[in-house]
Amino acid sequence: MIRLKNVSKIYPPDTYALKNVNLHIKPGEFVSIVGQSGTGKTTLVKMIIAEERPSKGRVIIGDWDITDIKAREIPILRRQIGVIFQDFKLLPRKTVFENVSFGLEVAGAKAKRINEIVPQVLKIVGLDNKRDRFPQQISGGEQQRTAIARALVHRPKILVADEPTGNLDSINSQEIINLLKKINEFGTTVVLVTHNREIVNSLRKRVITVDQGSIISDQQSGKYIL
Amino acid sequence: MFLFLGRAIKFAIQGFFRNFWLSLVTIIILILTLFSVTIVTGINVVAEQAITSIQDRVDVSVYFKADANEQNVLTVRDTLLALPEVQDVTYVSKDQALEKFRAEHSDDSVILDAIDQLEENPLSATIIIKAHSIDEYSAITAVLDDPQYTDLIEERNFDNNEEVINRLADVSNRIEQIGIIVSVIFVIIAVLIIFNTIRINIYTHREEIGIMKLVGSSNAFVRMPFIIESLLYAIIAVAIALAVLYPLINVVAPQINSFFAGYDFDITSYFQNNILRLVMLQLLFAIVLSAISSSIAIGRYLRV
Repeated sequence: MIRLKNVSKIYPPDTYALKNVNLHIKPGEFVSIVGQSGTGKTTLVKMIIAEERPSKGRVIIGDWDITDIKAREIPILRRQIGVIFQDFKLLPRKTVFENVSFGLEVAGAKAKRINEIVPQVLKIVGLDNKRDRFPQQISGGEQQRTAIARALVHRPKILVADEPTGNLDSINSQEIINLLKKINEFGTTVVLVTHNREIVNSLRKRVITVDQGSIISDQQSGKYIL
Repeated sequence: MFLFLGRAIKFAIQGFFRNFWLSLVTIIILILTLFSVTIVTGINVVAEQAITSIQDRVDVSVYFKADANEQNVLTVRDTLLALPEVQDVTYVSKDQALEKFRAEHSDDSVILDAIDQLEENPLSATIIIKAHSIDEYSAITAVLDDPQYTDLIEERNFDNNEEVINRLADVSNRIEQIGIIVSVIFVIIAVLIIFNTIRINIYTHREEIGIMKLVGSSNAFVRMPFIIESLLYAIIAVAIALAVLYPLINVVAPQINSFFAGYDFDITSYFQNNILRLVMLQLLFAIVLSAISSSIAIGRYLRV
């Protein structure tokens, strides 16, 4: 599903964010990518959603080599990969419902389909009773769930979560992780980037450890080893 | 396509009202820009009208000696007509002058009798010269300084007018210069204000643009709401500017019209005759300004 072949990312003059990374994530997997800050985890995420291009090597999503993706093809890729972030990236002037329907609206979905899908997704993330609130009127956990709902409206094959629990307390964090597990059970490949030891250890899923731009460990049912 | 446009308009209207204060400020700035440009243009129109009105009335009369040979006088007229600076020459012959004199004094038998007593026509021939431009009179009168003509000429009133004409030309040039300087200043102010509005627009919308890109909207769809929003600013600003300008012109009109009393100029009818052109020009001006601004703003933030 996601394949990185000999990928390096060099920031001139000679800073290596990623060094010769080889990675293969199969469909339906739940993979945690761990490592300390500044080790290249976020660069890896940016490669997958084509926000950054590799300096060397190739990035392949499904059957699509996105290494040299054209600017006008990026929207098509983004509709197949859901992304959530530490800072949620919600639009403060849109309600929960509008934030979620936004993803469909900008992709040109018909109103009928939006009114069908958005309530479904809001139900999955447990926000069907807060659809008319604005982001600042709900908790951090609920904001992240809104972001997850927005990522899900395109029924993506891949969901990339970049430090989704970084701004949340442990109870809210656990709820978000449980939600990600539920989404994974529906068949979506989940890539979780985190440096939260507790969460990684409790998941008992595949763990890839990144240090200074290289993969130093890749274990099925792994633990946080740094 | 309609879905696309409709949604873009919906986002634009949402953006407009949820950023209401910024929208209001942008519109007010646009209105002020429209105002300054319109007023400068208006002043230019009035000043130009004033100068042409006065210039139209300026002419030079050349009075010939009573004993001047008519053939020679006609030669002078033809010479003047041949000059490129001359717009028109009116010739009043001795006989015509006499007739006019008689007509003017038709109820004064004493004067008429006195005229009849004379054997010869005591009045002199006159030619009235009109130039294309007020600057050209000195060139024309220079021709009349030729010795072969000076013998024929009794008097010419340009000598008296010369100072007035020179001053008028001076004033008209000065008004034009000031108008140009004021216009340039206003254009610079407008450019700076709009540049700042662009920056504010970039700042408030950059997050939204990033998120739109993130959830997979096409570039055209990212641009469209902002362009529509800026068109909205332009249309509202023009509507308000005209709504304020129209009564304002009606208030100022009597003063301007009294200044032009006796001349063929009426500011109210001028405004009414040109209203369509004015609306179109203002709309074009406002739309071009805001479209350029928003395009620059969006262009800078769409490279992600």
